[in-house]
Amino acid sequence: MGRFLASFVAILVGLFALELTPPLQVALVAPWTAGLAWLSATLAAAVDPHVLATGKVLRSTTNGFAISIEAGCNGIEAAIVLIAAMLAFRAPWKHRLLGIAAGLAAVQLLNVVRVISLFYLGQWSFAAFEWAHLYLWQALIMLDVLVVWLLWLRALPPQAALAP
Amino acid sequence: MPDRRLPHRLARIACAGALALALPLPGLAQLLGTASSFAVLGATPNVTNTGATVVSGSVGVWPAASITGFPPGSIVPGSGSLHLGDTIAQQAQTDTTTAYNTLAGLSSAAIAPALGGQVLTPGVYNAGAANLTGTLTLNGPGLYVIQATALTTAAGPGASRVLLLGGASACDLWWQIGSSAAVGTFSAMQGNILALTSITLGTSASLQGRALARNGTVTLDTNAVTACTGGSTPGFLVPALPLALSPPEQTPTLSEWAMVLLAALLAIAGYGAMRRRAKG
Repeated sequence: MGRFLASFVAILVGLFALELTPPLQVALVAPWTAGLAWLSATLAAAVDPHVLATGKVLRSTTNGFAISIEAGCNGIEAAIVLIAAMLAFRAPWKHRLLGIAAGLAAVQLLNVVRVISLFYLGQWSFAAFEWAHLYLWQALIMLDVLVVWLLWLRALPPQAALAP
Repeated sequence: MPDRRLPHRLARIACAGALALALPLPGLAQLLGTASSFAVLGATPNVTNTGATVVSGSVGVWPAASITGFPPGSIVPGSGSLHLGDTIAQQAQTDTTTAYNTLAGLSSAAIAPALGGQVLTPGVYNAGAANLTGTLTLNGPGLYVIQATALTTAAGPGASRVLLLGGASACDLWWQIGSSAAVGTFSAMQGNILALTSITLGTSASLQGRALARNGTVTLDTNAVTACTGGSTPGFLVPALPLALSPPEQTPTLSEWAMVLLAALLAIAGYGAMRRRAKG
């Protein structure tokens, strides 16, 4: 059990350090963020013709309100915590890979909902935007990761089935 | 959990010290003068726009007095207004010329004109006939001046952009262009572009900064032009609200404490699961 905790912390620190390196920022984080902006804008524009997406900025053409989707908005940090836990826990690699894929999908889908909801919430009330941004969505993202983690733990085969 | 702000803080301190020694440009903060309130400024024959361009800041032209395409183009309410050949636009053009000449007079280090793939730290650079395909990365807080005889950026979604890392700010990026600048369609451009002749923003290109043309026209097409604020060259209100990061004042998806809490929750749940599995 101590090995799990030690591995978890070590992998977590390693992944965060890796994420902060400029080459990975350029090769992965920035394109990922741009992709999130594009997806959010495409979904919003599908139902609202008054959304203008340029680069990483979503802007309302009716009132000028805009949000800029920056590097930390991409949910990668939340996914890293989940990935580190799954890699540290003793489990078959097939389950680990499936869990990581499911976790990434869950975090990213919820993050798209978060971005779009904040875009419209900000147009309605900046105070509500701030509250949702700082408290509500952080809690929901954490809950999302936790639920994926618990479901993954339940889906693991019995310990007796694992190779020694 | 590493302190994600620490590298930025250290870089900021180090770069600020280096910058103070390397770039004696105390006047840059007020470099633009009255032109700082303009996001778009042209000279002659006009400023033209097509499509639903949104500009945060004033749009002006002088000595000509023709601005077309507003509407459908619009200025974010409260951020500025149209100035067609008036004294305000005239003074802004005078200040733009002063700023342009100041930037052009700085001694610079030569860099390759192909800006894509380069990583620059604060300083004054000369890129010749600059072109941007791919990503130009600016890393670290401080002033960036890029002198060029001309500037073109590749067209197409994701084909060209300027990436700001480690506290680099669009407000602190200055493009001094000896002829014209052409920003390709869908480009994500950053910085204050001061061109001797004209500036063209392709369809759906974005510019976090200013497009100030001394003698020619500024051509817009379904763009978002946002005059920046902050950095070493404070501008004015920018309504674009950053959703996250870029330390220290912004908020990421999960704050540092939230990530610590999340990691602890996962560890506790994992620990409990291991105990159950060991008993079972």
